[in-house]
Amino acid sequence: MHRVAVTGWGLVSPWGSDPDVFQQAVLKGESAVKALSERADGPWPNRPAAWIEQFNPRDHFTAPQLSTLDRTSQFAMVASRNALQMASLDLKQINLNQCGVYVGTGMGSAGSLEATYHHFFAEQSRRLKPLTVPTAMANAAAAHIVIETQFAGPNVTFCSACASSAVAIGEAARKIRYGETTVMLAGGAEALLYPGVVHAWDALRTLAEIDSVDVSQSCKPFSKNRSGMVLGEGAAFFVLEEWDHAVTRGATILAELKGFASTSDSGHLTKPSCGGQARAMQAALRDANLQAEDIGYINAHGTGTQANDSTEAAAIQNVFGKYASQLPVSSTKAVHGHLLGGASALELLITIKTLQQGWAPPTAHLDVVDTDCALDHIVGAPRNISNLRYAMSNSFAFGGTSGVLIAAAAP
Amino acid sequence: MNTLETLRGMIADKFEVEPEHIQPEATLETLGLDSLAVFDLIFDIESVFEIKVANDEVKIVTVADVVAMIDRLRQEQGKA
Repeated sequence: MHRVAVTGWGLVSPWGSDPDVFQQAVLKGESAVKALSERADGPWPNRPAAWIEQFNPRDHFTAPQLSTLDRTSQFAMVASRNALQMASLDLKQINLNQCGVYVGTGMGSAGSLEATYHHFFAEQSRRLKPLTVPTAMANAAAAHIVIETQFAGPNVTFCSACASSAVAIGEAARKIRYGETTVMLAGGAEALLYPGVVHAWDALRTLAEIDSVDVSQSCKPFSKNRSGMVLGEGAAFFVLEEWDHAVTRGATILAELKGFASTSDSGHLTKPSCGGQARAMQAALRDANLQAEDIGYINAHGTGTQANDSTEAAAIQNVFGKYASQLPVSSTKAVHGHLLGGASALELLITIKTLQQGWAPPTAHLDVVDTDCALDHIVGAPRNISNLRYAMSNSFAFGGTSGVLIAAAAP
Repeated sequence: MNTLETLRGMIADKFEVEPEHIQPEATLETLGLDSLAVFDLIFDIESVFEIKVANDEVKIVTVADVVAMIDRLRQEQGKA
């Protein structure tokens, strides 16, 4: 079995594309959440969301390129370009047949579909844009990335809602571990903030109320007064590389991707199961050949819904036992929102940054921990965790998929 | 404005091609238009020139082919 090094990363976030700026914001608990009613571009429900304002597609793409690039694909391409650039890979020196692209996305090209349906049904047009299908297909982002990079190995899109990019990254790591590939670009992207989509989420009664004092504090994972999740958008991608390949070329190794597991609740469409989540964490620990006590930080799924947070807390208690009371946990969705298919990737980036710096971000807006969510929550300020070697990132999806990743600090 | 001038403006704007490169003998491929881009161009041509382009008309190679197709279809469809 080969070891898997992380040698590059890139992201698109409300704070821009600099990972250091992003992590600083997350450590400070700076929230990107605002009221959708501030926006003039649609009949939005009166809900909070975390959207990206400073992203100009023309800074990254030509007009012809944009004719087939949904916002999700745009985010994915920019994040993957940044990851490749950071890894300093000389693509001329690599066998591109051994390089692959794995992408996670929850709702794919939601914006392009919504625009098309609007055109067809609301505007009664029977002339739809000829590039609608290749733009809106769920695997469009991955297709664009392989065309640009000329990676010619496996090219797969994983669609398992909120766990999509955990599964994409975990399966990509396995391709390297099993010796089938040398380099994988893996991550996730989501751009689903369109009026119809958000109204559909609102109808499911999962979205947080706007905080009456400060809208930016509307997402309150693990809090007694949590009222739901806040949707976000963005992308994060990683260059995963066979360990010896990375060492031989003198790459900077950011972390080791140590373990991954995916399980299914097999119970309910949306209601999470403690059993499925716990099995995923246990299986990821076995995959990483680690004991529960080896984990020094968990970046929780922590959406801020009643059901998720109490179920996740119970699953963590179940897996970690007494040690759970000393195991620092935080959910960063309070500040960047829930990116669905992009969430696991963005949170893995935060998790690896935490391993590098020894400082774990707090769960923002967590004033009173719910008794159903008793864990060692990081609140108020970042926490310094000494000798942090291994950290876990949890993702639990509608549809019952759990994806758990374990990263190790670079040697 | 004649058909070529109108078409030149459309291609230049949509595909960011220098107008002086859009000459009758230039192929759409050398101007950077792949098969999908040609579909996209035809979609706009249908709107601008008020014609309907059938699927079997899309075997156009050069700019001159496109101009000829537009002029013929406008004639046939009573738009000229």
